[in-house]
Amino acid sequence: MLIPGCIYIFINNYIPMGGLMIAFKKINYRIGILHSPWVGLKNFEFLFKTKEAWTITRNTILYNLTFIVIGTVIAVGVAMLLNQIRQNGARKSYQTIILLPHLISIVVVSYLVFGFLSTESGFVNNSILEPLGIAPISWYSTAKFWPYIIVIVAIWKSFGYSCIIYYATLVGIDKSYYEAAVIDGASRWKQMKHITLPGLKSIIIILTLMSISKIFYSDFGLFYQVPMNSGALIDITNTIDTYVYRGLAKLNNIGMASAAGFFQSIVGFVLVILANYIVKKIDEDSALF
Amino acid sequence: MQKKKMLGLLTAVAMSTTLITACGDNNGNSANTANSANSANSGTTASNNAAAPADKNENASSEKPYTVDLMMVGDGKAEDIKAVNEEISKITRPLINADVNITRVGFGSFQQQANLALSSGEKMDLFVTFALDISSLATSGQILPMTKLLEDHGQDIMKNLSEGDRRAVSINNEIYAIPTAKEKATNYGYIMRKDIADEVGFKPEEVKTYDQLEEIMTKAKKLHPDMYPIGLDFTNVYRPNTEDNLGTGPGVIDAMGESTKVVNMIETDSYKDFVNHMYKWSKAGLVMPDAANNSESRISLLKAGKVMGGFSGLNPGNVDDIAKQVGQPFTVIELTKPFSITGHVSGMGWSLASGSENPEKAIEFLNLAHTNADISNLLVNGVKGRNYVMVDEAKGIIDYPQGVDASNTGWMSLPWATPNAAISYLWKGEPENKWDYLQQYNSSAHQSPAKGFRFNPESVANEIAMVSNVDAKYSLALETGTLDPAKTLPKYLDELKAAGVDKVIAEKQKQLDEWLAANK
Repeated sequence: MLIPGCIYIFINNYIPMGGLMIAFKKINYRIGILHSPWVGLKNFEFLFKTKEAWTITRNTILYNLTFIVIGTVIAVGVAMLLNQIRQNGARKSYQTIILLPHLISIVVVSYLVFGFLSTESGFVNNSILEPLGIAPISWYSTAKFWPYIIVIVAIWKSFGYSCIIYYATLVGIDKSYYEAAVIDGASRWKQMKHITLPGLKSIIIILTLMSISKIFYSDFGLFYQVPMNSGALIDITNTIDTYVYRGLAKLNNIGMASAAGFFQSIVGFVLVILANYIVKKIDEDSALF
Repeated sequence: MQKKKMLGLLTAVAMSTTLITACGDNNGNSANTANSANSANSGTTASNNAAAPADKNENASSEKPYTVDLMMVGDGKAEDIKAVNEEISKITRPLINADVNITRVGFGSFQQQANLALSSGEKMDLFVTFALDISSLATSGQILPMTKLLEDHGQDIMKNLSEGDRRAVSINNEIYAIPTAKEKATNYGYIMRKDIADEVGFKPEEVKTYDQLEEIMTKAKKLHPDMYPIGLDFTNVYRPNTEDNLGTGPGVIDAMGESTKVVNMIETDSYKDFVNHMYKWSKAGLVMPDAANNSESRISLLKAGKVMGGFSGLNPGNVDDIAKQVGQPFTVIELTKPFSITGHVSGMGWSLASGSENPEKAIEFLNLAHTNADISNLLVNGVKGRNYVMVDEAKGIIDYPQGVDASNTGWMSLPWATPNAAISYLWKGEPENKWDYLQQYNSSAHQSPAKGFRFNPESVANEIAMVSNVDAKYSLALETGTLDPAKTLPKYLDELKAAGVDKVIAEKQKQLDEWLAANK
């Protein structure tokens, strides 16, 4: 039964790993990958020799950690709230509304944000700050607001999806636990704490581990489109993906681009192993492997 | 337990490999096919070369026609493309025993699509180098050298290629692109809606400095407080300059001067002067707000009456084109004189993709497109009666058929992106001396002392990648007046130096000196 899946994974995921050699080569299309000369770690230099290396690493990891923590808390919280709604129709429509942002293209999102933050015609400047008598803010050139804006946009866009997964798990928890708890006189809060959360524990761990494997990746659209590639915000919004894009857009060098991808994967791999190891130390049954 | 562990490990490995290979596998597969296509290709090339060109024509009728694949920029509807293909094939089949197959790709996606086609090794013969850099395409082997092929199969092209242009499209003395008939120089200035300019009242030819311009803009702003005198085209400022950027990466020389000393652009007086003024103008409300992340074209800004003008390239036809699209005439203030650099010539040309299965045929076709007015017209203007109608047969003037215009035509007419449009018809409303004027503009332009030089960025690719990131942070913000140059310029310079800008400039200087010595 496993064979078709294994073959698929082998063809799709393992064979192309040969392409990793691109990261160590100076590619010449005419002679092909195999014959292109090896250049060692030269393709990786631009990631580490730069003064930006610290900024992009910090931004990528801190944003992702924030997304993981806040995203999980909000998604679990909302899933629990959804579970409390008894009316079927209302629950369905809430679910749809929560999931909707996940389905909107990030480019569209960037213009939604622009609709709020445009200096001249934006909603925030015109309809909130002006009536309050606060001078309009030039959002796209004021870096200090952007960590919050990025986090709000990212969570707004993504929490619906994980919320659905948590909710699906919640629905699967045996109702008799709750019934027993009610008979024993447990309050709603106690039910959540002692039945719902433990029921969600393993799925929370799995989703978090999966996010950790992507901790060195960033959503390019979120960090490039949403701040409208504004120069004044780059210190705050530059992540490894936007750095690679800006650096290589003119050079068209696939060796260097592959090097960046390779580096991201290695970091992700190491972090997953590490996180899983820690989880295993604490609670053997919850670990991924 | 053991089993569960193994399975878990497998899933984990699989999971992280998806990540690793997410971008790796495309590259891997594509380059492999490119490789095999190329080795196959070089085989046929060799055998074709062995066969004498003379007996080729005799075989022509019995051989199956070769299909020349072209990639052109601009939109085209499927049925119109099919019609053009058929019409051109009708002409080319008896002449060179070839069919054509045109792919048209819109401006926004052309660069990506062309890069994809070039790196995947799929069959493609000729393509326009719109938004593509022939030197990086040539160094990575994605396009083929053409000199030998042109000598054998493209004599007419060679005859018309001027020495300066030839050098501009050559890399290591090999021609890699054939420039199109378009302006091969540029100059910069400021344009303002004529009705507002007349209201302010000034003589455009007397305006030479930013301070004079400031006076005019301030008056105009007073008359129309809700409009901005400086608008951008998306995020293009069109900063007036006479710099020869010598190809990719930082380091420029003055194209108008004689000196060939490569300098850092942001350290030049002209750059400092401009950003200082922009900051002042931006503070005074003369520059449109959110300029650094403007996402609208200047045409739509001008049409909406949000802005009244802006800096602009003044290549022949450019302002006419803006005026036509906005529906208003413009007053033009010339701030720099025309100059010509390598990029102006090589920026738009036709190159031979390494995915070509029959480069000789491709060049034969290109030669035909340069000399045969019917083919040129089909490529530029589409099919007669379908995409255009004759207005004046004698003068060769055409117009859109009833009910068709630039916005809904099935074949976008882009003379500047098509091989030799100079032998094609003129559109109604275009100056009758269009091609003569273009010729004159091109020949009157000051030739940069480094024209023909082409920087090879390979050895400093890391530094350029780092410098690009610093540029992204500061250059647009400075050029739109968003950041204060007094504070920002020194920081910008420091970060550029840390990113290795001096190494790139030194390398540029070294290559330029070598090139100058070799081309005395």
